[in-house]
Amino acid sequence: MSKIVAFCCENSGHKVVESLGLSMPSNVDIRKIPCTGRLEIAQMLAEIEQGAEKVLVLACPLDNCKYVRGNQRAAKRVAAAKNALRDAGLSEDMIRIEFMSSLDKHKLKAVFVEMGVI
Amino acid sequence: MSGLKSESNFEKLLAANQFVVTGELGPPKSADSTVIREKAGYLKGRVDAVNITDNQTAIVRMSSIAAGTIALQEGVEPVIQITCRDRNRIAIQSDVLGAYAIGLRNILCLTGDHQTFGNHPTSKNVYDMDSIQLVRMLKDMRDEKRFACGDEIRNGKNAPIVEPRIFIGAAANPFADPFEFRVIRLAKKIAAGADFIQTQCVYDMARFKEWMKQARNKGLHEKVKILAGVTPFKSVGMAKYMRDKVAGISVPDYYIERLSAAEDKAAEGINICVEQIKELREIEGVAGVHLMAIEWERRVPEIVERAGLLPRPSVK
Amino acid sequence: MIVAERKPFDEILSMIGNARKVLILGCGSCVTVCMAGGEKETQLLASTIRLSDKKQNITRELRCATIERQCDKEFFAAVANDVKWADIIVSMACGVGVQFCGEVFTDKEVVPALNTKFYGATVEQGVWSERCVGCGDCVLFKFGGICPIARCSKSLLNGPCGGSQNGMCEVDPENIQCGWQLIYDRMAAIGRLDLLEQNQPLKNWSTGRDGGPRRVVKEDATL
Repeated sequence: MSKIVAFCCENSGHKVVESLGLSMPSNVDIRKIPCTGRLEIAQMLAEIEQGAEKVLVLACPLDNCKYVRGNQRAAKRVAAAKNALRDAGLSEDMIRIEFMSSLDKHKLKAVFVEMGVI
Repeated sequence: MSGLKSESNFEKLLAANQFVVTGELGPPKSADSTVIREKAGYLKGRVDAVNITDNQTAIVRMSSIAAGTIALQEGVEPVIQITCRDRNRIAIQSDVLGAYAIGLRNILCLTGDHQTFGNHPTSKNVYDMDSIQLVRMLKDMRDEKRFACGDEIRNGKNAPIVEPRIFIGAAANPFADPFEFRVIRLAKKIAAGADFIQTQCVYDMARFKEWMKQARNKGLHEKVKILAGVTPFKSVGMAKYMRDKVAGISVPDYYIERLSAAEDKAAEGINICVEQIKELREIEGVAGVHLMAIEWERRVPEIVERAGLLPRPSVK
Repeated sequence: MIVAERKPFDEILSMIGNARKVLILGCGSCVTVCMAGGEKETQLLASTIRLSDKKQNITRELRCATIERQCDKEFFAAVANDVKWADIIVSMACGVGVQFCGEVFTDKEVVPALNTKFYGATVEQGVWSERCVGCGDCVLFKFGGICPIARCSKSLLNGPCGGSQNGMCEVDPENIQCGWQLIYDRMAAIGRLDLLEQNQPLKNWSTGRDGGPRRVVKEDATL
């Protein structure tokens, strides 16, 4: 099964993951991070180098970041990482960002279904 | 006539306080001299001198000195435009010596449109100097008989000094920003040695009159001959283009409305131009008009005639 | 600082060509600050190259290192072994660092990963703009501390051309402020408009690049 790495903000994405109460399949690697603004472009690419088929970033809604603009930074870095993927001749769809509050269970479920996680 | 600085007929007319008319002739984008001869034919006898543009809007055309020489052969007195964009002080001084030797007597000093607007946007610009420094350099060549480096203008220690005795002009734009700086800049051009000034096309008469008032308050109209620029609209599209796309030109909406309402746009454009010339002539300190009929030289005779400016005076 | 930006990936890749051992060498000074050639950028470039190589089935080894700065010789010692190992050095320094790297390691090919742009300042996060062209004869005292040579598109010394409108330059009315509007406003604010009425003579450009490549010697600092 293809490997998926999900970088999840502890204030939103990670809470939704927990609230879904799912036991994650072994190919899904959930990483809890303090804010998606901490995520570096090279970090996302490194996961792909190490075999991840998809990198998913779960950030807070755009107007609601505990660190004010961490999620906006993440969005721009995801865009830069997608550029690097294009440069390398790969599909930019390998990296994906979703914005959600800690209550958006349905939204995350839909994303997981779409990605074949559940 | 005494006190003249050059052998320019244009200077003589201004010195005699005639209301002068200058035209404009854009050299061809080819080596075809017939275009110049044809355009000169429309202008001869209708205007007192003709500006020969120097690669205007940074598009390559025949050199202004070469085109001016051809115009001179056709009986038109040229005003050679020189911009600071393409040549350094070495090349410009060299060209001025050559222009004078050929018989060209008037030079208009311009900064020059930036090359990014033209057909060679990847070229390197020069801007060794600005237009004000260019005016000063030409004045020093004529009056001090020295090059910019200080050397005398002579071919050797025992050779005679033969300086280019040029009638020196500069441009002024009363409509660009910062407005308050515009008259200061005019004063700097006069201090540098400008003998005459040709302005950007005047459409915003109120702003032009305000600028002239500021100039008169400083007594500048007595130190330099100011020619107000006019350009007839050929169409509504052209008027809108001038309003929206050309920095430093202000076109009031009522001209656009008037042109839009008219059946014959070109004729209305000429009506407007004739009215503008008549109005400009009434302003104290305006010594003449500079008629820039862009690629419309053939309509110049009609405009000049209807503005009551024919026949052109002659001065011995 | 010197402001630079990274070259397009394809251009870098074509410069590397068939080299199989590649050292990506970052610089810890100006280009780290302007986020073009510091440690993070070396990693991003390396990662992108590895992904691209994998996709193309190319076997290539990459190493990343970043030194304090590439415009002083002593800092290169730290990477001497990596350089020895490498077939080619991709320098992520400004043009100065790239050349100096080649002067230190004379038997190695050194290629630039950046386009060096200008001497500038950070006007806001992620945005840098030009302030100085290094003319070698500073005139800022005449213009209220705003340089007409660097900030006017035509380097005019006696005032704005006709292309100044609403504070912007006609060369790019969206992005370039009219340097002369800035000078005028500053001089008005500090009550020194009188300085702008003085005619500035022809500039001596020989102190700048036009005088040929330049050199500064400070006698009391030489050995």
